[in-house]
Amino acid sequence: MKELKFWQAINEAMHEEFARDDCVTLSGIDAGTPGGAFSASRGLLERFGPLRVRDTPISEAAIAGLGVGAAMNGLRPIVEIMFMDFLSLALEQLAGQGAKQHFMSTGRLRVPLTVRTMCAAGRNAGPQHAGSLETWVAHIPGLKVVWPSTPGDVKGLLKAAIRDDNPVIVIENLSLWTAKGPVGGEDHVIEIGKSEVKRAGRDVTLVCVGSMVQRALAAAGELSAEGIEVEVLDLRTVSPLDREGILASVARTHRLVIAHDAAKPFGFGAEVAAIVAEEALTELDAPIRRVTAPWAPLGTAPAQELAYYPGTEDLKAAVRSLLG
Amino acid sequence: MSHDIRMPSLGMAMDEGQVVAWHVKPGDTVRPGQVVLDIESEKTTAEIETPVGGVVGELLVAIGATVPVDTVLVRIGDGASAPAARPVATGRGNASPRAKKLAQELGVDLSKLAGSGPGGSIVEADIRAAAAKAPREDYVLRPLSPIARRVADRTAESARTAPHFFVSSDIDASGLERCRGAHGATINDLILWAAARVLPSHPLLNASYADDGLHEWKDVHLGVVAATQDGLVAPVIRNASTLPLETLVNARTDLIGRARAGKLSPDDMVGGTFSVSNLGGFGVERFNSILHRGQSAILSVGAIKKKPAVIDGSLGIGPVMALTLTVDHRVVDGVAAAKFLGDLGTRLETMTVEGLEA
Repeated sequence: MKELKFWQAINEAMHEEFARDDCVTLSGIDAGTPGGAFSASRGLLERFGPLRVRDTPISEAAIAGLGVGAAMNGLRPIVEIMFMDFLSLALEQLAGQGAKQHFMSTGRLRVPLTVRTMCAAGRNAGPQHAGSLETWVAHIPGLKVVWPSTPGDVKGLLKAAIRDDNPVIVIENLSLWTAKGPVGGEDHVIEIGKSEVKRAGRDVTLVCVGSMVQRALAAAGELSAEGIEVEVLDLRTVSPLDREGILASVARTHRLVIAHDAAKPFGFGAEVAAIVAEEALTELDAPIRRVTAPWAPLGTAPAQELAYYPGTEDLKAAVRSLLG
Repeated sequence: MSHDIRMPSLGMAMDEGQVVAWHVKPGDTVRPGQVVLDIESEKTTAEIETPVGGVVGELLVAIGATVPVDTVLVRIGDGASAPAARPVATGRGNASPRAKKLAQELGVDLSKLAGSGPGGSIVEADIRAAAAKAPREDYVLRPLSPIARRVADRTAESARTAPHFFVSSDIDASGLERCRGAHGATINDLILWAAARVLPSHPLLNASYADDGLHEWKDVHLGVVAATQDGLVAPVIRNASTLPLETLVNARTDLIGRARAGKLSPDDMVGGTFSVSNLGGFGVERFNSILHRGQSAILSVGAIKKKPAVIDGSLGIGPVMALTLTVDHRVVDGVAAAKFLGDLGTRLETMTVEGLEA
């Protein structure tokens, strides 16, 4: 299997889906002529023309509204919200309109919209460009939220998002941008709503998603040397959560740590913990632990950011605390 | 000033109670009227409130322990004199949910274990280690609730002290079958109703054997034996000999419903003077009951079965029911028992819907 960088896998997925279906379009700030603010849409404008690949003004509400409207009218658009912090500006179109059209039209309208957006956590992008705000959209019925952690996963999940008949938010980590990994071919589509065990282990389940998976795998590797075997469960999809996958892993390990870069209160870690408490309490052999950012805005300085996000040592400490 | 909360007496029969749950811990500040703990007696469970506000002292009785009435359970102090907070070793709070479940499955006593988990908690590995070490029992221990234990002890006491004597008779149940459903009555309701009306003419069957002689009760209070999750109970229908059938049916429905829901109060179960037990619903043809303590007779009712029967002088098939009377031979002799059973049988065999209005 060939190896690609994360951004190249995004690029390849879009090229393949553009070629596969004439209804696929792309709109966003710098999406066309420059080939994407971070190169992910390189070559699309040249290959598929300005009717399908559009540069837009700096207006997230307009971009999202364009996408929802185009999707309702039969296209299969991709729109780019450059940083997920600006989802707030697009939220009326996505949550108020796009998420509800299928329901409100009793199934006559569909919104096969893909929203690509970037999480720039860990790259010193400051308090206004590096938010981990997945729950803004994960809480909305009618929206799906996927968050790939590898080049192979981003290709498979982006293709699944484009082919899905519902609005899907795809979160892409800038910190993973140049990570290399094996990538599947044209038929490589990953089912939305399914987690994957990225590393099997018998002692503790570590639930994570996106760029946290790398830190989790590093922690698991180091803990293995201490004789502690951590199972790293990559959710891949934040909403809908893979209940079965989570419960199956906890049934193997009986201990649960959830890690995310968002603040602890009302983060998806609370939802994962609640599912396990509701449906598998008697599987638990220790309290559930969450490892998260603090309840505070992020600073810009590298030292501040390093202290703000959970690191490998934090994950290791949480795992050890469950083992007595 | 401080106040001692003691094991209360929730009825005349209660002489001890079990602490089921604590809702406070030492050092907590409580308001007057706040629930402090739950207790269970042989009859019922109750929440115990503190009548005064203050600071909770040491919890003096562990969960699961049974202590005599009036034992001090906890002292509510004014804060100044309250003893320092100290955790109570119940052996139940500090085990993981998984460990608790496994402990139950494997019959491991958590209170005897030291934990190896986070904060010294008991975890799965501790349970498995204890289970592996424990001598293998070839039985499963099912602890008895205070209620079940009390019922068992009283049954044994009755069987040991009262000389049991049995008389039995088959009756033609076609009258009962005709009347079934009138005023919502079941077959058992009809038997209760008929027995209540026959008993006043047979005072020895509605009596108790006592140190000073026989107590012939002036009223008929019928104990109706019912199966519940916790075992057999016999809630009492009061003054049954004067109740119209419909009222009796309503009283029985209420009592049995509450019995199955575990909602009987202690008062519902005391003061019976005669009891009826019915296993007909399970197809049992005939059985002998053990006397309820303090009662001189109990009627055991079997199933109605189609049998060869002499009907108007020729052989036919008719519904037949066996009634068996258990009596305390210190109170009732064979003749008195036979007379009562005869009168009851006649009343049941000649039962008509019109006659139920009486």
